Amino acid sequence: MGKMLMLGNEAIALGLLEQNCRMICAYPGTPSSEILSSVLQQQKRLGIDLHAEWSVNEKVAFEVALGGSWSGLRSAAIMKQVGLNVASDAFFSAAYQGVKGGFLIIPADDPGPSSSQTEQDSRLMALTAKVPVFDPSTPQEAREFVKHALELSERHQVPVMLRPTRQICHAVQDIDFDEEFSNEIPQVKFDKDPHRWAATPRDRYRLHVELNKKLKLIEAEFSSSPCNKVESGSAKVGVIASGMVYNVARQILRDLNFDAPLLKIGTPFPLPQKMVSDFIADCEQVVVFEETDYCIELQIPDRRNVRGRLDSTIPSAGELTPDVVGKVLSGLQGDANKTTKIFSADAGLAAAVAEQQTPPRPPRLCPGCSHRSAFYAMKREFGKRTLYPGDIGCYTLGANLDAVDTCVDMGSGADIASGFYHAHKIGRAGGAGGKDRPIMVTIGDSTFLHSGLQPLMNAVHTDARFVLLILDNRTTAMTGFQPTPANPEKSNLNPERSVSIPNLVRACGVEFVRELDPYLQDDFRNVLREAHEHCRSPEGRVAVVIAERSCSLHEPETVEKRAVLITDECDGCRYCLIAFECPALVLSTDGSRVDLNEDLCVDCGQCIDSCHKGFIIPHPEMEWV
Amino acid sequence: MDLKIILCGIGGQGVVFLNRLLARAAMDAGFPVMSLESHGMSRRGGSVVLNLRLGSHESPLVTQGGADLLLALDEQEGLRNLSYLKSGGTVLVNSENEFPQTVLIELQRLQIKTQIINATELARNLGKVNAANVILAGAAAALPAVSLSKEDLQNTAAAMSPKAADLNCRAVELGYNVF
Repeated sequence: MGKMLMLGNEAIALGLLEQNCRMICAYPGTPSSEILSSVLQQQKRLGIDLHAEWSVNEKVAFEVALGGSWSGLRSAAIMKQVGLNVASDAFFSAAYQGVKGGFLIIPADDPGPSSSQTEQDSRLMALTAKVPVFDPSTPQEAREFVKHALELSERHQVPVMLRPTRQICHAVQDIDFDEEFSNEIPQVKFDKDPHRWAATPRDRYRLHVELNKKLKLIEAEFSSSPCNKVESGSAKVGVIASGMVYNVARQILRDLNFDAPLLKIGTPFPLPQKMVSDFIADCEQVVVFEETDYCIELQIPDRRNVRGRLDSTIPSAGELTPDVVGKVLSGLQGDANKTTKIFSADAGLAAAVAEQQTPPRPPRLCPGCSHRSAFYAMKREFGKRTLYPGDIGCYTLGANLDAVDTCVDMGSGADIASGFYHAHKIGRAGGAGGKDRPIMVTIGDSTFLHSGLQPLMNAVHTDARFVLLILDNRTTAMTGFQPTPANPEKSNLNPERSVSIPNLVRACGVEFVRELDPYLQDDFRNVLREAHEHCRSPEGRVAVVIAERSCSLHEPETVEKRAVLITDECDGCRYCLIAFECPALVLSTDGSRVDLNEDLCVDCGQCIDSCHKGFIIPHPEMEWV
Repeated sequence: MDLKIILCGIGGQGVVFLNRLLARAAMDAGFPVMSLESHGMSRRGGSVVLNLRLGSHESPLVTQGGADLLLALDEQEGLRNLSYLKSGGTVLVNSENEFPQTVLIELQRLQIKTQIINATELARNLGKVNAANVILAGAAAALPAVSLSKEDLQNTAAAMSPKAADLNCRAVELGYNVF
């Protein structure tokens, strides 16, 4: 038995391996990404026979894992919460059809949100799809819940959700474990049963009835599950909590000296109704703390004595931080101001700090990032009057260079572009505006393969005219450098079996396809101009430019050393700071000039063009590669 | 030990490594540990704030006015997060400068102990500017409230990063003896 410091995601990975899960598929996305990374590390270290893959998207991950389960293997599909939207078609259907080997869907939620487009609650997706949910409150518990969830899944032949939030995924805890993993692989066989695995609408009614019956049984089981427990207290106000906010509430009750009974819910759906109603009956009123939305609260039929999000006691957006929970609890204890005495910043100190106006440090593209060069060249060529639909990845930060005008979801950029193109065309036809402006779309390699191909096909066949710029940095950079089908060098599966992005693009019927290094800024501008001219010529169609250069953070050795010097003549006009927006270019304290932060600069030499006055020059004492 | 700690800095400075180093040293010394890290959007150059609780498995989340200790790898980030400290707490910050006078007055009023250490300069002299985080960990370990042994921290640092074991041991030593 040893002790190890583990991230919640690593604890979930450990749980999957301990519980003999043999097929694990994921698409990376914060805060879920480290689960499969950790599985792959352990697999490599221990030589376990299992199929683990970075799938092309979440729907694919879910379906591949489902095939594993239907063959008899314990299987899991892992993604971030918005990834479940992508996988939801399969998710809803699989709930009816059921599973064979224990099947876990693990969508990681992001209260806040810290790095997502929504704060959606995956437990509510599970409620709608009728899939049971486990909601862990610590990394250790997440590991234990993997076991309970897989066993439940097998016992009732249903897919089961393990729903960690970011505060669990990225919590770190000391975990006891011994490395004893089973070497036994269960019998693998797909038993044909077309009325289940290929169910028609007629079968689906029966399957729905069966699912409802299963949920009844599961609810009864949850009432005596060790995942749910009551901690007694003398106060008349009771607290129901689940997930990380359970720990927060428990801590604050102690700090407030508030002896409230506490019902911890580890299985928010289906809610163990009797357990909850008995708890509520013993209290004058009950407050429900849960993230990210109201899953437990919604399932309580009689909410007359229940406080929560539905009656606005708890804010309906944002993370339930200790400060938020503290205010609510001290209010219920009878002294709303008590919390400000215990839990808030000292006003004098806060005011003195605020006076200092510390500069905000929002996320930015890294020094040497090839995306920056592509955005910079694109902006120089096409300026402000061009429409720039963007997409999801590191390069959404192109917004810092005013080169991203829209961002909806994975793969949306080219669709928004098609919509813009057709709408403006209609506008012109009716004399109702719709001024003809260039449209330049940016999307990364991993996102393009995830869901960018269908929008491109659609643009070809509807004759939408725009330039699609695929920013291929040969990895999934934002989430920690996962391989993609086009760049599988680091894959655990077959590093040689790669998919060609240019060939995919050509197969869609695109005629103008160019690949170019965006570091060659002048050539890159010329190619973008040609692409635009092609797409707007009578015989033309949507044009694609592929910016080919490895991520400078992932493969720093690929950055040719081209050190620069900012000359003494620099007058601090700040053009480079705005137009090139590199973290290594910093305004001097007195604002009189721009300096190079040597610790951050990677000597890519890409900023030279951004000083029109010629004050950024190749370093005279350094040799250029 | 029951310590609530806020760690902050800029993405790329090794705030997460600093967190793991202290957490693991405390774990090796037999204390329960719970922390909340930040992964994803703060890769390079963005603000990073982590929560660390040593000596307990209760919530790792620290309230404003609730931290015993603030460890800052960057002066501005340290300043920004000062209000996490409770009165009587300690701030340990990697900086060349003192905090501004108006802030110092408030810190004194709240009996918050301020320790400034130019870890970046020390690390540069050591030959690796990135080792500032390990130097800060050494200095933190020596604080009376933390009191992890120097040797334990060195052993933990060596185990976590065998390739940089020698450098990190010297970095711990430097930090530990800085005050």
